Amino acid sequence: MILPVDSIQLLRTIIGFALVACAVSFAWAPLLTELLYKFNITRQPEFDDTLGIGDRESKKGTPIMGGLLIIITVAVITYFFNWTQRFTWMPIGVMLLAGGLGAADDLFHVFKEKRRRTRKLGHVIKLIKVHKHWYKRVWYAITLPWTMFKRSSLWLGSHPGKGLHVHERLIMQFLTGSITAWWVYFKLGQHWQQIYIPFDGFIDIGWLIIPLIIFFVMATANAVNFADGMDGLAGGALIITFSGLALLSWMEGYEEIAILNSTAVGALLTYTYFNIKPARFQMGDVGSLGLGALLAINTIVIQKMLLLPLLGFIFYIELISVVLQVASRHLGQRIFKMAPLHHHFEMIGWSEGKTVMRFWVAHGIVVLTAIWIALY
Amino acid sequence: MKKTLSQPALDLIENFKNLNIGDKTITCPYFNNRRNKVRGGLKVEVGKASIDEIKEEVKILSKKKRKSLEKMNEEQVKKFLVDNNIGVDCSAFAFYVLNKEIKEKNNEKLKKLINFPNKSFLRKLISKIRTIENINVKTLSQPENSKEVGVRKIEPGDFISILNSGKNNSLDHILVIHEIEYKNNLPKTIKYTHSFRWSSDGQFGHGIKQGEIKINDLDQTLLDQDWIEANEKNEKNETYKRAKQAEDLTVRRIKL
Repeated sequence: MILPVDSIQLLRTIIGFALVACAVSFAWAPLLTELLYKFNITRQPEFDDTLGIGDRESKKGTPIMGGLLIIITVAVITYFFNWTQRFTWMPIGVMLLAGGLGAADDLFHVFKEKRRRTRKLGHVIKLIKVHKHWYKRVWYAITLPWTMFKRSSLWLGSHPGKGLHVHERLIMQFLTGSITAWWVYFKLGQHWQQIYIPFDGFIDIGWLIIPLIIFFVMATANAVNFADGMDGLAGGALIITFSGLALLSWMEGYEEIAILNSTAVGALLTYTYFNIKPARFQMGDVGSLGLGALLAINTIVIQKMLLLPLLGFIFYIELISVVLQVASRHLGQRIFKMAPLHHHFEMIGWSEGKTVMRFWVAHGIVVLTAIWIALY
Repeated sequence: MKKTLSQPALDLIENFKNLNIGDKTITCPYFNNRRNKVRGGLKVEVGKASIDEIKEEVKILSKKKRKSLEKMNEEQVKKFLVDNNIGVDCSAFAFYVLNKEIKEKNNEKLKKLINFPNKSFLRKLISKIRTIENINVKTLSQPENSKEVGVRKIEPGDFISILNSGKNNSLDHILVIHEIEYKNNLPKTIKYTHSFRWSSDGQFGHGIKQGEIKINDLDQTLLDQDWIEANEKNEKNETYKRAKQAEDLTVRRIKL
């Protein structure tokens, strides 16, 4: 079977965008590196437990926020050459919002003083009872649910260090997910209230799609964030995922989304070139959260949301490893020597290169499976 | 004649006494759980970890803290453990040894024999899931879990429960009896092991200790016998002092 001329033409455009994004990001990568070094936006060892594993000590002082290379390249190219009110403005907006949250976290880690930890619940309850000023007692009582939320977010096990607190991240990510859900549910149309069930077809789940979208956007952004812990790991895996997504969106006829995905692939190729060990710079939260959100929204738009755990396989595996580690901790022992999962393999003696490449291969196989499933 | 714990239980005590961290051998430090501020943490963070868990944690921590265990001498390794709050408290040590003994002799798990009375449903559920983390001397000494034994009938695998001791009668302690020497079929020397800290131990000298009680007169109480540990006797023996301050001092045996 020979493909129609239009499809070939579109495919040419899609690949062309990837090449342009690759070239554009190559062109300004030295400038970004220069700026990151100039402002000393580098990896800080103070709250980094992983620097003692293997030969990771050398990562100290490596610039972070290399993800800006991808985010900015994708946003600028899309704005000038692939901007549509229907499809691309919202993915770019959500990517920038999530990336902005990541950027704040990255910058706080570098420039901010150590932040005060949230008051313990018992302490606040005691203050409600004994504080000498009545208005303070009332204030603490009114804000008790907020304190409970802040404290319970600490159960997720994250050390706030100097960056954003867990509850702040959760709120921002919830906001990102909510905006995506609003756009999909209210703006894209009735068709997007349906969900694709592999091997079965579409079913209309109505408003229930809203919490699902919020969940997948939050989960995917965090999952990519967890995977960004080794040179080349997140970059390489994202190339595979966005390539798969570009292929799927091309086949499904989502022209703008296919071009957006291929633009991301192009920028990621350049990023990964510089991120291969020893990394010139690392993605940082700005890149991982932004691209995680973009990955989620692009999959949702082409109605393959339930395939996200397969299309983002290695990211979800990393996410699940963290969840299991936190849960097992409350049961008194660790499942993994360290989480996310890639650190576990490092701890048992795998080299960074071996871990990254095996993760790429495993990820590639599952993404291929996801594409195969999506064809049914 | 003498009676001892089973060989696996004795080996376990030996492994706590001579804890191998890499190529260094140290005594497993004492964990003071009254200073513990961790809630819902790992066993190793609350002084309840097994030997393997302690070794694993030390490996992980040395990598996280970027300290090479190979370059440390034994004193530095012990200091590393103490500085990072790694050790075993008296009740966890007793739990592991008694568990080994009961498993060897009765093919039972101590975890299944232990009840947590006087607790709400939620606390009971948590205690069932996190038994070792919730174990303490009072729980082991509850009549539901152990029965009092007279000194004449004492056996290896029994324990000496020291309740409500210390200056404010708020400290508990436990000694595991690992060996008994008999004369004319009556106990003559009771040898015990425990995890403890004496004031003379300084910051890093504490950990698994062994001592003995020489029975002079079986008709007298346990406190009237000679308690010898680290070449110190009676009042100079801090374990004895702790036992003497106790509101409740009994020899007990786990109920099977």
